[in-house]
Amino acid sequence: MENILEISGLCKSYDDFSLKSVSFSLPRGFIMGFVGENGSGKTTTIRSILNMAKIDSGSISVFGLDSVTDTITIKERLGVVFDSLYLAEHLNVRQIEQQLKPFYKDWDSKEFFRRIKEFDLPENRKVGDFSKGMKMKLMIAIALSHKAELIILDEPTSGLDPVARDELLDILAEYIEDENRGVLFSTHITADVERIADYVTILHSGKVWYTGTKDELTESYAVIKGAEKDIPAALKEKLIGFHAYRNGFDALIKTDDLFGLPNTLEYEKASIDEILVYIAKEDKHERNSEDHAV
Amino acid sequence: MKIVIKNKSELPIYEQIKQQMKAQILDGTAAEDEQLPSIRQLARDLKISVITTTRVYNDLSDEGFIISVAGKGYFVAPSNNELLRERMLYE
Amino acid sequence: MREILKIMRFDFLTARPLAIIPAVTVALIFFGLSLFFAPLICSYITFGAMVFVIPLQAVADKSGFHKLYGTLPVRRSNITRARFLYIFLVHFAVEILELLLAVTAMSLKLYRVLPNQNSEMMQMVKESFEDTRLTLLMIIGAFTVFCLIFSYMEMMGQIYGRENEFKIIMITLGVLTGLLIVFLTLSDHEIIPKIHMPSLPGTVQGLLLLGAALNIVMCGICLIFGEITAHKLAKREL
Repeated sequence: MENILEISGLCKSYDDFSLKSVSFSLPRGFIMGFVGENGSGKTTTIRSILNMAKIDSGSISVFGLDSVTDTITIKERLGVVFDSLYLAEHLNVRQIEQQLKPFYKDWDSKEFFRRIKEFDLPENRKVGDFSKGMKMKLMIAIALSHKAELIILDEPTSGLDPVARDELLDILAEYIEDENRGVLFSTHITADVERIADYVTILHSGKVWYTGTKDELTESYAVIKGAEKDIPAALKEKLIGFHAYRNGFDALIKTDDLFGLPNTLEYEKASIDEILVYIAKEDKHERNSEDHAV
Repeated sequence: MKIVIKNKSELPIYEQIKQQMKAQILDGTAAEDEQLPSIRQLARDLKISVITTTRVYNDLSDEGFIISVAGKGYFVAPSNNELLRERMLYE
Repeated sequence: MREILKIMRFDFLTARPLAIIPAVTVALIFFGLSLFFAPLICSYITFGAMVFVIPLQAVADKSGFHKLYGTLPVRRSNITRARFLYIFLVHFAVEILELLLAVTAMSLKLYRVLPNQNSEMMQMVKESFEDTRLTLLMIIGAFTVFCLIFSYMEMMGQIYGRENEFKIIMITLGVLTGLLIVFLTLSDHEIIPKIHMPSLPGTVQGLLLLGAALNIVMCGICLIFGEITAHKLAKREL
């Protein structure tokens, strides 16, 4: 089976920001968490997949189809959830279903209303009056009602309380039980990714910093702490995001490089959160040393 | 079969599941030929990645604790298998 | 084409809850007045057509419709074309409605129940009920003017942005007025030959033909404005 989503060498420039040769793939049957700090390019990547932004170079294929020339065929089978509602707020659920139904060949009204009921959404209230969590569930209900094979979510849990977040992840887990489907969700709430993602792609300053299985990622990095003087010379340049403070230091390091670590230094498996923070710190170091050099 | 995952444990999640499943198979809590949840179902129930549960089942079936029946799923292996007891002695 | 119809329906369903009450109210008021005072008052119902058009862009901006357009399996250019065709259809439908109501008013002749049947004002009222030509002219004129204005505003708003809409309209009016003054001055001084305004057809049938022609022209103009706008927007990102 081909990959449900494949991005190769995606380059896209704006005045103040650019995506530089972004490449990653998602095989069918899995969930990919797409993480990175604000401004790293996650939303731009997603807009490129949806052909909302024009790619400078590279290619994107969804279901094996080209994201530009076959964008309409793709969207019949694609569900999208954004961080805010994209529907008219003065309409209610019934009116919205009426509006959207004719656009999808495989729209299933029964399934839609079944989901609405399951998510406890009132059918006759204006959707503008819905809470953030309810609006997100409405978008999911829509995504699930036209036999979508891939669901893309852009920061779906931002601003949601923990209960709603938990419910969303449950819905995605149920969705992915069918091994022909896929989920790509971008978020900066890494706890969600740690829990449910199979694959992770980390975007940093417009470039892919890591892409692969989540298990491999979490097993590949560790946070080490201790006294600065105890760091063996060979290890110094392998440290990522080195941070010294009065009582010691902490830094990120690849577990491969832990060989020969003195036992005066402590280490612990790194969480995805920590990985992101140390990557950002490392960046600041580089920028600082560049400034001083100039 | 009862499986409890501790997120804050030092042990990787897949290790925790493997150990708990092995223990229940060896002490008989899990009956011979009992059907196990599918890889995806287990992932969903435990709210973890499918890749993790796949790895657990692959390891356990390589080690002889469970068997996969084409078209039907995964089952606890028959326990009159010397190999299982030998392994236990080594653990 | 089917896609365009679906999108027009979408626009209609978006506008309907906001427009239905004001539009019906306006229609009832003017129809009521036309029954007793002058059938041509039906032409004012065109003000009611506006409420089916005006809220659309505000809703689109506020709700972040660009995300919806990025999600739905539709072509962006068709979304634009559909908007202009929708504007035409709204005005066309209202025009037909006004014609039917005016005919009803003219045949019922309810002015006969009003007091002071022999006053001078009543004479004028009676005449207006006989003057089919004027009534037709008002209705067709209202349709043409409003349809032109709204489709033009839609084009300018989409291309140059809603914030600049007001400025663009003022500039357009200024340019048109300027051209008109120049033209009239030049023809007054006989620098260019006077152009005789073609007189309007004398018969009701003639007017109906003119009306049909204007409808077709307006439809064409809306389609052209739609193409121009779609072309200009094609390079922009959602």
